[in-house]
Amino acid sequence: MLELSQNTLLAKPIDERSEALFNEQTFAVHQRTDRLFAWLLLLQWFAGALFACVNSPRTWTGSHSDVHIHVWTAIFLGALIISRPIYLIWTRPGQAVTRHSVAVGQMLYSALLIHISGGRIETHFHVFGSLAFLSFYRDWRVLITASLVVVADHVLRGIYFPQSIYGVNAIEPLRWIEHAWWVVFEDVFLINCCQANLKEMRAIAVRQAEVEITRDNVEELVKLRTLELQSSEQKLAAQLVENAQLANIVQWAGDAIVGQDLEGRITSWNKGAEAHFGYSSEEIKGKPGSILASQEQKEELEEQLVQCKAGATLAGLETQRTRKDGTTIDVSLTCSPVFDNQNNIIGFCKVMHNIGDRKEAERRVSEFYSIVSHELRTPLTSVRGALGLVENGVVEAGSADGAQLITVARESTDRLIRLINDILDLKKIESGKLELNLRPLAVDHLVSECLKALTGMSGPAQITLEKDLHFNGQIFADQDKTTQILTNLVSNAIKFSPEGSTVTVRTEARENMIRFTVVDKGPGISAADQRKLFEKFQQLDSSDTRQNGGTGLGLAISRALAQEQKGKIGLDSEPGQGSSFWFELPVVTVDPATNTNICKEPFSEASANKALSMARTVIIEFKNVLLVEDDANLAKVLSVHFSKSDYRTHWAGTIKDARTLLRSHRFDVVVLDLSLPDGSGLDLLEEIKSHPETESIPVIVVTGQTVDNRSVARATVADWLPKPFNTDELVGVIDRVTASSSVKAVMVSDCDTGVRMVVGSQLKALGLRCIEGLDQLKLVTREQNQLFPIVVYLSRELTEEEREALLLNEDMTGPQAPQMELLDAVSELIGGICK
Amino acid sequence: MKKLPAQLAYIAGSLLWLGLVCYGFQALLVYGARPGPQVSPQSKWPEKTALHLNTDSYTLVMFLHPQCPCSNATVTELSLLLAHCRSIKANVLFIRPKEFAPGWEKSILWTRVSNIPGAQAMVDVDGRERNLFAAETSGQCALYDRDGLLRFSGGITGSRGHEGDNRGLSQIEAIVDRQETAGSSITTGPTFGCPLRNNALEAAGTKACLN
Repeated sequence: MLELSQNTLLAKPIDERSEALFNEQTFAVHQRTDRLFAWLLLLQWFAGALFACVNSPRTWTGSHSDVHIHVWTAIFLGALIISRPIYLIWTRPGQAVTRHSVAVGQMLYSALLIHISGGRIETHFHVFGSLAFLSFYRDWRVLITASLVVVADHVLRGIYFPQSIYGVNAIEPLRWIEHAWWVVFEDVFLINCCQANLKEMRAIAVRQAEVEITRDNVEELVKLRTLELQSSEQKLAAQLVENAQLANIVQWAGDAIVGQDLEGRITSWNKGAEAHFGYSSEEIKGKPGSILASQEQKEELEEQLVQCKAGATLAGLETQRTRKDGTTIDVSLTCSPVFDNQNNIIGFCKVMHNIGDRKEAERRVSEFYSIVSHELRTPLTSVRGALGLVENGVVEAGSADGAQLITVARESTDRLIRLINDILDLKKIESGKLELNLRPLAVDHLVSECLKALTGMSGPAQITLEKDLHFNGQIFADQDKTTQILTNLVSNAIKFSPEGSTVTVRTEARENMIRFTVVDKGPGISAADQRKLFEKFQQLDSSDTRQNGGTGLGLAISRALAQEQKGKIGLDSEPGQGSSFWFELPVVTVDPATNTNICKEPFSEASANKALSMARTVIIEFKNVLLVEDDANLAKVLSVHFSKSDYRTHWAGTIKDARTLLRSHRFDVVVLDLSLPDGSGLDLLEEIKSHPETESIPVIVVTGQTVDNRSVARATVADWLPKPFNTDELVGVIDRVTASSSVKAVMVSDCDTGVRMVVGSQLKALGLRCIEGLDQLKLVTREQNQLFPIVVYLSRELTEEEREALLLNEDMTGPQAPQMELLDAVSELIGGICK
Repeated sequence: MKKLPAQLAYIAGSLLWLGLVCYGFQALLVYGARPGPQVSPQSKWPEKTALHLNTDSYTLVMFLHPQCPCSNATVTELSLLLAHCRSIKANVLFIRPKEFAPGWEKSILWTRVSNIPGAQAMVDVDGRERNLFAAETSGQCALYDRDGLLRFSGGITGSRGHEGDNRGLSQIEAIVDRQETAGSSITTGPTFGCPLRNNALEAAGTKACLN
């Protein structure tokens, strides 16, 4: 409190508040005393009247009496005396005029009381008692007022009625002093008491003001501190969150983050460290960091600590550390000092990144280069050796030995080319620059060509190559890359199959994908080896003693090629059970609206022949026959017959396969067997006829079942051939039912006249119409009233108008992408041939 | 401006109040200072009186109306006088009009007088002695010396019902102290109290207390 009151900043408000409090308190005292006197005055009045009634009730004249004047005086004069004080108490309580009026009234009533009591000494005590009561106001001025009334009463009575006070008739002008003295005597004490009370009240007011201001200040302070505390708490919370986040980041970082004190003891150990080294946080904290180092590395560790203690940060150190199980791992170490707020080093932070994979990769790359170096040098040695012998005349060039040596040189050169191609393909794959030429490919042709190319490899290995094509349609893929994949898988199968075994290539439809599976009877592959088989530079045996050669890139390249073509690759194998390597590629989706190929000059006889070949291919492949027959042998026979009649056969052994082919191809006719393993052919017939895109396809039913001629099925089919039937008859039916929708490839050419004449005559022999110009094309399309494939043989680029006219029928709109890709594919093809 | 009339009214009301109070006190004091009826006293001890003259010292004869409230102060002064002047023999006669029954005179005053040493309370039926001593006002005193000569006649209070120093008491004390003998003049003074006669006011030419 004292400190507060001495604070000059607060002194003024304390003074003001204490003054206000003091005034409030004194006012309250005045009001309270006023109310007290109101009752006192009334009581006195009543008591005075009663006293007069008792003491001098009547005045006598002989035997007659009347009410004594004292009674009337006590009642009426007494009432008059107290009337004004009481009125002011009622209307102006607490005010100075009120209490002074009370003082006057009280002393006047004392005089009255003394008079009506006959001047009794006892009654004079009323004066002194009244003064004492008036001191309750704690206002010395009130006492002065009361005393003045007493003095005035004595002075005036002493002058005008001396006998009533002094008992003498003579005026004694100074005798009032003797009476007034006793009043003054009491006043002195009472005034002293009033002042003391006032002083005490003032002190209390000051204390109260101090308390109030202190309380207010404390409240303000508390509010301020609370706000500061809340702010600090928020900041702390945010800091804690941030610290927690940082801690979590450190804790869950993949790298090992280890904290050490200045002595090298481990103080923190994150999850990454647990995963890297196998120690838990509880068991390694407090241990020296050298626990992670081998004996040989302890000196290196000490050196690192010394450098870090000096404030240096060691980054990117490649070293090894030891796990809990005793194995070592390669790590890239970064060691940095940890500072406190005063910039003192209090410990170290070590971040260890596992570089084992990189080391492994480097090792494999090194191994690869070793292999590649060997693979490069070996055939080069053969080439050089063979040619050297011929060059030096050791062997005659034209002799059998010479021919053999040349063959060896060529084969070695081929081997070099393959290796270089693999490496280049690998480079393209890694850089993402592999270019694909995606187009529809015939599965049968693809597989056949591949197997044919590998007969030279399978023959000496006494491996039989077979194909089992459950799907014989088209896939949308790059021919070279797909052939590469298939060749890789088949060649691997040949390499790892025992002599006399069979390698089978199977195709089957799987939803929108076609799976190629290469099945061998080799030793099989364990699950552990399977996981890494498709990685680069992976071989089951990369030692120098491996028997089967290769660069370890074949499967990696095959996987990349399959994935680039929106496919996938995998294998199923168990040790001792052989292996089934498979890859899947999308089924071709061709807009049946158009089928346009473009052959672009520059003109040459070769380009013209190529165009003819393409046209022929288009023409030959255009009549698509969907053969739905579960009997594979019958299907093969029919396929041969159909092919001789220029029909391209797509064989489906089940309803499910048939549906797949119908979704992906446009067919000119369907030959349908009713007895199928997964349902009735009538169901498929109903589906074909109920679908808008297939309802117009003529369906020829071949069945051994007997169906009512009047059945709905009979009504919807183009023809019905009971089994056994004549295949020629069937072909004839196909010819008949497809004759109305036969399309002929039309060649549009505006190139050189000579070329047009040569190419056109030969195409006409194939049944082609040769159209010159876009206008003729439009006439022909209106005549045919349908779309048909067109081979465009040009010496220039197509204009946009021509391109659009060729791609789209007037009455149809369709996606341009397939046509554009086809155009691009043909352009590339032409470009490649011309080069 | 509106406050001005209010203030003026307040001041006027205060002055009126004060004036009325002063007037009231003035009327009260005037009443108190008005003596009762008084006639010339007998200068010698009446021969027909039944009272006995004290031949050793002074004899004081006082007449009181038993119900006069102003006489309380007289009785108080009497007690002081007799306490100071023990040689005085006081005869205090209480007037009882004939229309009042015996015992009427035995008021508080009677009791007080009876308790004063040296004072004797007696009843004066119908005012016989009163007439002999020519007392008209309650509280009137007559002091006779041993020779029966009147030395003082009057009251021993300063005003009606007012105790305290007064001239009459001082005069009696002076007479007794000086032991004045015959030939000294008669001291007289006003008597403040109720008239002893019904028609005393008319005879004395004064008005009743109530006026």
